[in-house]
Amino acid sequence: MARRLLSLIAVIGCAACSEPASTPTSPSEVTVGTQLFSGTLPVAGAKFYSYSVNTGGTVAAMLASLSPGLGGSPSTRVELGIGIPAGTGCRLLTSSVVGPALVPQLQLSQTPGVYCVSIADTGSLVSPMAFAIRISHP
Amino acid sequence: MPAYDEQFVGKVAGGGSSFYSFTVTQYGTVNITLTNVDGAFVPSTVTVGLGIGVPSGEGCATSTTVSTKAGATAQLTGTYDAGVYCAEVFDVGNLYAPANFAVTISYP
Repeated sequence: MARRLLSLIAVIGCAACSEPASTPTSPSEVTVGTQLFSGTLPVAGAKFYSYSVNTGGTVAAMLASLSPGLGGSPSTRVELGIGIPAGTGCRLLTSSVVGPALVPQLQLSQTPGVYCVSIADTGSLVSPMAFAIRISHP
Repeated sequence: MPAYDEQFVGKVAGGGSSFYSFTVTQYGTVNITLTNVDGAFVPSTVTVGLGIGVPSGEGCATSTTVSTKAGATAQLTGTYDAGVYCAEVFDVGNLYAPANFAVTISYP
């Protein structure tokens, strides 16, 4: 009886042994990466952040926040740009003067490669401002 | 045969780094030469770090680095595919005052 029970357990336990191992399939959709670039923008200054695009697609940048310091105005606008790292900066392909918003403010179709997002004072800052930029890319 | 030459001139502080981005247009040899280092309280024979990599975030993610003195011969040489790269100069612990430097980058 015990031997018959052990045989039954062995059969049940090995029911999946003869089945081929399931192979994970690659997702067909494009993976979107999101990166956050935050820091402090000095008066008359500029900063940039480099990122890699592995698959062609649309890159979007959004100035998610811009916090005024002492004497700063909440309506301050800065230049937000997307470009290619060059020299000691970011050579812009497209740019716009924007205030903080929760929608993509710049979108650009990009092939695989290294790109950058830039933020620069256009003359409206009276004190350093903290910023956060959200970058979404394939 | 490198087709482009760029001069990267800057300053690196003690414990600091500085980088410069450039675009290689086709597969070929990249030469990076630290030609000069000087400054107050900075001997011209000081050893600093020199690297090549890819711009990433707010810096340069180096894949190859050397510790070197300034000289006329390329201290970093390699073959690279087309793409965006960066050359970086950084302190390896020898700088006690900001150092001016000059780097020549030759690439196809």
